[in-house]
Amino acid sequence: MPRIERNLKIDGRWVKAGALGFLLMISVATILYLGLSVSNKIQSQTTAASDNVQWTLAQMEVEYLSFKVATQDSLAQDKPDLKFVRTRFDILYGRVSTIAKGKIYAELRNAADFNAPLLAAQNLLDQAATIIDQDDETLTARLPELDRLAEGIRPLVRQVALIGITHFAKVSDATRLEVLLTLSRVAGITIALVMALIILALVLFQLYRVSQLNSLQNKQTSAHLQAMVSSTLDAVIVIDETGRIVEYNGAAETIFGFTRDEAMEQPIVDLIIPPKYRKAHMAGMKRYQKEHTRRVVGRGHVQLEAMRKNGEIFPCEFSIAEAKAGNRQLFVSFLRDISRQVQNEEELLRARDEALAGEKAKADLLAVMSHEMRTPLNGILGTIELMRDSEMTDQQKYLLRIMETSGNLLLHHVNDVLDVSRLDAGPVQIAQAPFALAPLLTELLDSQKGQAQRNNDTIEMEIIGAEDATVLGDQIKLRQILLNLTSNAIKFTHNGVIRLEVERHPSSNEFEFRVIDTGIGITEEDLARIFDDFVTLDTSYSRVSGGTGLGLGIAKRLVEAMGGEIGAESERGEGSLFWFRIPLPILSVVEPKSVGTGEEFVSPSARNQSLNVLVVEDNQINRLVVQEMLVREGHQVTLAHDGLEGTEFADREHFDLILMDISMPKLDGVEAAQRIRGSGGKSSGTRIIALTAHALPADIERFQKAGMDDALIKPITRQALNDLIQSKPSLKPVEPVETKRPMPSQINAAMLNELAGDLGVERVAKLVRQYIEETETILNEIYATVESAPDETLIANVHKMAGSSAMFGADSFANKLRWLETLGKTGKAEQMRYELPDLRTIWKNTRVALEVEIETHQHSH
Amino acid sequence: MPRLNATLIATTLAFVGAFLTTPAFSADLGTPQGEIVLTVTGSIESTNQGDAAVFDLEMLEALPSETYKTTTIWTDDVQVLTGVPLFDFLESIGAEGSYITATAVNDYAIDIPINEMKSSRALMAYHNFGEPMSLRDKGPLWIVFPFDEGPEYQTEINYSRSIWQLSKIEVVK
Repeated sequence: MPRIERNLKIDGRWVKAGALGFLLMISVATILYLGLSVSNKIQSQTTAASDNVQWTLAQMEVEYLSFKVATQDSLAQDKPDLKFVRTRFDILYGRVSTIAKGKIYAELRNAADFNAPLLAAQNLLDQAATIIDQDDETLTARLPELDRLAEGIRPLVRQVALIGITHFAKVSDATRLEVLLTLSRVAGITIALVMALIILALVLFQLYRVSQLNSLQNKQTSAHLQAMVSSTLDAVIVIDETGRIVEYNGAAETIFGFTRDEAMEQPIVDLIIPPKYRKAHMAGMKRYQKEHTRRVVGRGHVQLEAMRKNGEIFPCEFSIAEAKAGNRQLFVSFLRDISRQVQNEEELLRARDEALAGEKAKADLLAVMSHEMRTPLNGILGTIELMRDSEMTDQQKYLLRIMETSGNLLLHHVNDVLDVSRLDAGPVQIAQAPFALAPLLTELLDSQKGQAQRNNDTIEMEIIGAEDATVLGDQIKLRQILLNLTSNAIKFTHNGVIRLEVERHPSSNEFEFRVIDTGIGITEEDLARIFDDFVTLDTSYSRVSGGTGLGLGIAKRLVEAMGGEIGAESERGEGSLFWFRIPLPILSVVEPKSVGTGEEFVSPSARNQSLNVLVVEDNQINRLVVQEMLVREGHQVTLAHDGLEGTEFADREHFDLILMDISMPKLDGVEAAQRIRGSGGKSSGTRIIALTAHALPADIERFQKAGMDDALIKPITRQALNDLIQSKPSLKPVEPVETKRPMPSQINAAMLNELAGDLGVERVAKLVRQYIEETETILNEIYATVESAPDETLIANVHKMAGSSAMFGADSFANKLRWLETLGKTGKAEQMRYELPDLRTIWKNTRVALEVEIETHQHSH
Repeated sequence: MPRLNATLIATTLAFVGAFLTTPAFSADLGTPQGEIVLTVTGSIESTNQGDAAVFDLEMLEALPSETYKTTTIWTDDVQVLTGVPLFDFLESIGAEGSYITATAVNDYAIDIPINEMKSSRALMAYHNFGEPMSLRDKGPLWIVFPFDEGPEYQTEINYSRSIWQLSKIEVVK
């Protein structure tokens, strides 16, 4: 604040002026003192220690002469005037005795040449006095004698006068010299003082000029500030310690509606602070005055509400700074009306929310539609599959194949849409489970062979640098990406080569996958948008290929969800190269198994034993389809129409397997599964498989929580159903069957999560480590004694591990253990011993998966 | 003089005022019986010998007196001088003038302004140590000041006015 600065400067100047004044006073005092002392000196000179001594001494001679004249006159007369003679004598006598006694002549009398004649003169005068004091006759007679005495006095008086006058001349010379010296000293001091005063005057002048300059600068600064304050768009309000307004600029008039005259000297609290904040404001001011603690002052921009003259309350942004003006505490506040800004922000937010809601509605619609479409589609495809086995003419078979192809295509589209909406619904869960890379790729290419053959294409594959790797990642999603890319490549390549290359990055965890074809290629401008949704390039081809245009979009989403990147290169007419890089940490290198042969799966039905299966499904068609499929595989099927019926059956009878639809009237599948598990009925321990079109991870978790063992995503195919039944035999297996299907995950993360939720991450981590240790010990024991140990010991050890393994979600391992235990307990000990070494591989993967899971948990907490 | 104190000035002024307003009086001075020691002439009210007022020692001794114990620069010791305050004396004879010219037997003469007599406390002494003073001993009359009472009395002017062997006073208007 200009005013405050100015005051500070004034203070500084006052200090200087005060100092100068003090100096001046000292100077004046010194001069006064000197003046007084000079005056005293002069006075002491005037306090004369001497009379006019020269006159006195000269007068002595004069008076002597008068006496001498009187005696001589008397001698000459007959009747002499004796009285006159006596008087003259007395006068002379008095004069001489004054010189002989007077203090002023004391110094003089110390000189012998003065004192001796004086004493002599006095002696003669005393003799004369004896004559003078005689009667007139005697005196007359002795006049000649008196005259002789007087004659004798003459040279003495002369000498006394001369010496005295010389002496007093010297004394007065000395006195004059002393006075001169004193005066010189006074003059010197006076000159010095005058000089000092001149310097003082110069300094004062300099100070005056500086202060003049300061004052000018202050005026300018003040004028600039005034201009700034009055022209700023922010309201500037200055209040004093009592909260009264002492400054109020033009912008404040505009913003608040009060004129300057109305606002000045008014308490700010009554003017612009909305009633609901007044109490807080007063408390704040009070607190500040009392404790000098600040909450708002000096804190930069603060957003609050303020009130206009018309009572309107509006949002404003303000900052308060404190300033001191002399003894006054001032608060300078800058306020900005941000009501429009706030309004704009609100509108933006609303617009965004609406847009998001629209997106969500669209996504929901897509999800619901695809779900609703899949259920009838399931029925159609299932029925077609059943029809294939019935007697038909060739024409009918041809038509049926078209129906099936079309149905599958439609299903594919629906799945794509569902995938996209699922991927967009929220964070995609990426599994971190170990799997062997090579078998996955081989299997994938095998599945594409048929299509490739139809297009007369050759498929090649090369894995560079990691042929036998077991990696940690999400194999289902990787499979889907590769499937989308290869099927896309096949689609656009006729009579060409499709090549899949996989290369491990030498120095990182990344793998690069390349799908190269010699197809029609993509133009440069199309390359930029091929990963966008619903992009179908050449219309003529799209008719032939018939894609939704979502395949690459899905691939891109999945790659990015896994933390990788995807891209494509192409030349029109030459072919295309699609590549993507994702992190896939290598866990180990497994022995190459008999994979990648392209062999068809062994038909399970040949080896399958008959199971007693309960199917709980409200949809008649689905019920029919599932029943048919199971019966054809040689299983016994019991049908329940809803959840209630299903639980009743499960209580009454033991089933080897329960297939449970999720969406059912009366009692849904999740609830039914819970009841079966909690009922203690005959089938309370039976595997329950969910049949669902829902496939979100959260749903799967919900199913698992309800006690369901697995889920089968609709539409159900015979293949999928058989795989499922075989991979996890129920407690009443008839014949051991080894699964070829890779496990989706070595461990059940949900199980571990739940455990961690109940017991705490640290404790679970500890337990898991303990479990790993125990299992290692038991496994080592088993392998060390497998040749010698009796069956019972092996079974007991296997059993020991099974319980805890299930508890920690090591499902694959637990299932294998249960299977081995079952073998052992059902008299198939040989088979059990034969399969025991398999535990080693599963355990290795399980252990890694568990360790990774614990690590992740601990880090995320 | 610098050391004049205010009271003194005030009383002086008061006195001068009183003197100026007091109507002139003609007191009977009486006739000197002994030797005449002082002759006053000039502008005076009271006379006893023509235009002059003459006094013998006895007449002066009859007037209200004062005594100064003081050293002087002309003597070797403390003197005990008794006499009439000069101002009072002049007043008693109705003197009306601005100064007097005092003349001694030895023809020494000096002018003394009347208005300074009160403040300088001029005393016309006729006794020393209670005895009349001889002509040889600065008698019969000696104007003195209380020199020992302060430096303000020890001035060249006072010394010059300290006339001894005084015999005549002329009051000048």
